[in-house]
Amino acid sequence: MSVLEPDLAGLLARTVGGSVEVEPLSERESRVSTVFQFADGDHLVTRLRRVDGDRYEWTDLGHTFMHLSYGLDVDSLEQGKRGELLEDALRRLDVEEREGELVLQTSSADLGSSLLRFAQALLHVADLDYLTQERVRSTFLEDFRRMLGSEFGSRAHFDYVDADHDPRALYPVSCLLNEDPRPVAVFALPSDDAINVATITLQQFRNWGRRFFAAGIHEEQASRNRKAVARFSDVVDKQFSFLHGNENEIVGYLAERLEE
Amino acid sequence: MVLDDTTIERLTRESKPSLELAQLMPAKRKRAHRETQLEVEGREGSRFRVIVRQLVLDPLDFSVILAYLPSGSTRVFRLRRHNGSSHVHSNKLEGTTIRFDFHMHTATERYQVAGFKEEDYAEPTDAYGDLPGAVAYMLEVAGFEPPAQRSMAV
Repeated sequence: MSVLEPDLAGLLARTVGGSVEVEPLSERESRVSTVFQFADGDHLVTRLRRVDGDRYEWTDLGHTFMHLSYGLDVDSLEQGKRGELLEDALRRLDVEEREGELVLQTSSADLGSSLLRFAQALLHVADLDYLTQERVRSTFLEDFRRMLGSEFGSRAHFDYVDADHDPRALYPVSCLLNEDPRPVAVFALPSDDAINVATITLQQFRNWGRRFFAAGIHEEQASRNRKAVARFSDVVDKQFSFLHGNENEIVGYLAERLEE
Repeated sequence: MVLDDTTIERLTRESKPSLELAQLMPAKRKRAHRETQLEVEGREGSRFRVIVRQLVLDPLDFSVILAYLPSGSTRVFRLRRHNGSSHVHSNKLEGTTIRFDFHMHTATERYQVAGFKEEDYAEPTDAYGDLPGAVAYMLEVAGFEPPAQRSMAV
């Protein structure tokens, strides 16, 4: 079966169960358009490439990840919850990733069903968009830790507690940067409860005579209880009203405080 | 958050400081594409982000997005998206299809109300034929001030 085979479209349509068009681009590659589309109406990019002999491969040229990047930072797929889901989806459908290009190897005898599997894989990857910060609260904390960990390395002490004064770990700091001479305490604030706990924690550290620069990073401050935010404002030195899209400003500001 | 068509139009046309094409060419490699993002503040105080992406393996597969960033929110509201000719697009409400043609997505109230993404509606265009053209057209239609005139040596 050649990528130039005139009946290729018909063969694929019979398996896929819908309209398929094949446009040869060269002797070795054809553009294949199907009914499969992302949620926004953009159709999948699927090309059939002849490798050699009877070996073919489906490829999206990297379009799926680029499309996904409209809604999230594709670097966040390297690890954490999104990374696990991505790896699982690709492994189950035998799709490999080559520097962002999704590829499914196949043969002439399996073109139709492999096209179906390939489309399924691309749609699974696209569905990771539904795990953006607007929809899955748990990724805020992952992203908070990843941002500070990658920027400050061993200077970032997550879930810090003052072991001398607080052996039961009742007053945790989301992340303490440095320890001496003037540490910077950073609180992750995904909820009203987290804001209230951070307020109490800062007051307690003051009672113990511990002094540091304190910052709070809200997941979305506009959605928080105004009184809780007001009480927190009385004890914190700096607040950031949101994290995603604001990372450069946040790490820059914290880095400057560490230099003081 | 649902923005009506009047607000979308106003934000799109809000005067914005000039940007050079060179500032917006995709540079940072992200998996199989390159991208560049720039944030600007409009003359009315609104914040915007321009995001330009282009596939490494297909230069005609690109997107140029103008997004509005509401204050105090993580929301990234896409006002316009200029795409290349790499794929087919179907408009779900109208039932129309654009086949491998350059096309422009625009945010609409009707798509938001119907539960779709704000910029799902698209129309074919001949306003550009490559990525630099798509970026230049975005700067032209989205209120970006033209670059200052270079002084001529006399």
